[in-house]
Amino acid sequence: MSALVHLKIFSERAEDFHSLPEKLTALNYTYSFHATIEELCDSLAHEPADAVIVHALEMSQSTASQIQKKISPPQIIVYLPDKKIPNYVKVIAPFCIQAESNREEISYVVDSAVSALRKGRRLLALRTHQKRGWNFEYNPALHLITSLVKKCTISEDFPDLLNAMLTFKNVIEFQDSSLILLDHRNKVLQILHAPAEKSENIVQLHVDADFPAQNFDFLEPKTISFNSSQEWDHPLGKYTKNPWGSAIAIGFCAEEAPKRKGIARSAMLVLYRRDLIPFTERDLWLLEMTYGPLALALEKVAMLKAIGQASKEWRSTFDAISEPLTVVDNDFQISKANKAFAKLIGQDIKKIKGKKCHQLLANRRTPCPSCPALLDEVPSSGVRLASQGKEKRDLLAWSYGIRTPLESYHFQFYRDVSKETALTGALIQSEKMAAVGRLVGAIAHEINNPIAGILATSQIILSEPSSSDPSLQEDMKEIRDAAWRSKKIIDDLLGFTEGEGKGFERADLADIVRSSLTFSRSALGEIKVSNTVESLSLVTSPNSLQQVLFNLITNAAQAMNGRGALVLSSKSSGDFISLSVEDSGPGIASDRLEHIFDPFYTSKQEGSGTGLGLSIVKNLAAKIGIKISVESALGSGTKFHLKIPMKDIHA
Amino acid sequence: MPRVLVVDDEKIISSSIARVLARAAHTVSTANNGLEALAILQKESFDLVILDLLMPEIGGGEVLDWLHSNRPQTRVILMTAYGDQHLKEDLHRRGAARVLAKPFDDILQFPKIVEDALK
Repeated sequence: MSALVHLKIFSERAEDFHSLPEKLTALNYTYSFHATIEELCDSLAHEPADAVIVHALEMSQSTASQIQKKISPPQIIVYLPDKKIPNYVKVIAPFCIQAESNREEISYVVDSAVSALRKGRRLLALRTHQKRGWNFEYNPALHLITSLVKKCTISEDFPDLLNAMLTFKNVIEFQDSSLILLDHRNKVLQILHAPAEKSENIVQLHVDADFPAQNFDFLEPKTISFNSSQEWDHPLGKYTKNPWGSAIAIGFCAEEAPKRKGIARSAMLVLYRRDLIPFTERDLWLLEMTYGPLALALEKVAMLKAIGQASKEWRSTFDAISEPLTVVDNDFQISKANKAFAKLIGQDIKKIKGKKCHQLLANRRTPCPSCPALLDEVPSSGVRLASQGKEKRDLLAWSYGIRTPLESYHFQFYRDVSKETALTGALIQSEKMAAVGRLVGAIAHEINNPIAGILATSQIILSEPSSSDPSLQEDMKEIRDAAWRSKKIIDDLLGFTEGEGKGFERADLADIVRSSLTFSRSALGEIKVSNTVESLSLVTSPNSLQQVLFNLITNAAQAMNGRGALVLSSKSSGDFISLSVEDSGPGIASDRLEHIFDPFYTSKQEGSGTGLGLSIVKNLAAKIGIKISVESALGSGTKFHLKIPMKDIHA
Repeated sequence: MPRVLVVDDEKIISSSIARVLARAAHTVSTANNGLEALAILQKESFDLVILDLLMPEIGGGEVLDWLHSNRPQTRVILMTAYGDQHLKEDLHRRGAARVLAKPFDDILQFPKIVEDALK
């Protein structure tokens, strides 16, 4: 008890106190001398004392009031040089030390004085608190409590929160305590020192303090003790504080939920008092009650931070996925979309939110009949979306539903398979063509012999003069001619289906054109054909050229939709023959013209072309040295020009 | 009087050829397939053999090879629906004097074709 007392001694003359200083030192009190009242008051302002020993000669009403004006007024002990105690002194200062008092007597007086002082303080505080009562409007404490709680629930700003908490300290009995908030590494986060205390002192104290280990169970507030053996310098002498005072602390775990053992403490609130009287149970209770919400708030702040972080991570993951992804609610409205999806749609992400998925993707007013979100189980190969309208998309979709107690939503994952579909289509097409070719070849070969026989026999019969009537001759002629035509058809068919890349040979251009027309007869239908291609001998690959012409002719037929005129003409100029295939179809717009030989570029309806036709034609023609160009305008048909070299390109 | 053997599994063809050649005073025999042809060729000799390429059992190609090794003096004309350039070259290399495409433009030309081949 005695070790914690700090006294100030006021007198003009130090020698007035005779042997008092020695006795005080012997009792382990610390003290300092002050010669004037101003000096004393100044010292009290910077460094509080538990009591001031005033020489009786200096004692007066004004002295007393000056001392008592201080925020934490010390107890006044009067020093009486002689036995005579004036009455007024007894009134002003009930505590006196006489010159002859021995150590025990001095000790008794000082202890009583200090003790009374402290009790008085506490009673005062308590009374003030009680006076305020529990009426909400008149009780600033309650106000503060509720505003504090409110702040704790809504605030996300930790420093802001702390300030609110610390303000609260002043409202209740902890006015004379200093408050220090430490993080889990015992690093000082905030200090709110008692009015009579210095901030640096607190820090110093903390540095020296002996804090409980990390795994201290902090479910409830605890009193802690600490020691400081630091020596402090003071103008009037060195003194030490040992021990310094009492403290209570409460730990807050805001990072993890409390566990049975080993709670992760994220902050500790310590209340210090330079007081010998320890904090009471009630103090502990108050501490817990008032600073309890801080723990929740801290936890909330940390959680919000973690959530924010997780949210950020989730968002960047969502966006980083290179396949289109959306989150769709039960009304098919898109609540979230990633960058890949925006790219697929060709719109800004901001415009996408809130729109219906079937509207954006499939151009539909109603949900897609095959919508994966409506299925209980989406097949692993996905669901094909049926899109309507001009810009048809070939998409596979998957949907994963997530149900929470409040709402349910769906993750939709898409894959654009239009390129794959086109490629597959082209592959199937070429396979089909190859199969057809093989079939045609087989049929042709089979029919060949009988036709040859019919033709030969009819020729023979016609060459033999017979006694039969002329009408038989006529009939025989018909048979022969029909057989001849059949032979020609078979020739064409076999020539066509022999495949590409056959060797270069001398052939007649007109023959090649004619056979291409023969093969496209069914595609041409009602279309009027005008063929003025001259008979011209050239060296080329007849099969490849036939294939090129066949493709151009059937394209033209499709463009004309079964009605119109097809004109094939040629013009020779020097080393080249210019062959043109012209249709009376709708023509091609100028901005599309430069793209028509590009693979996959097609204006046809889905299912009737893969868009590969013209690119194949161009390639094939190029292989045999033929350049293809196109001339077209909307409304005036299309004309393809083939520049065919006369000489063998390999020569 | 040239002796000619016509081999084709299509009767109407072999009989037409035979008819036309007979008119031009050739002695013509016919066979239905390669097997028959070989049987005949082993017993008798011919100046010219007209062969169809695609026949059941033994085809014209095999007969051609046999003739080339065993009857080098007998001329061979092959008939085929295939207009393949490579095939033609191959047949010529193997000893064919001529490769004709079926159906023939004019069967009445056959005597001339035979004459040319025998030169």
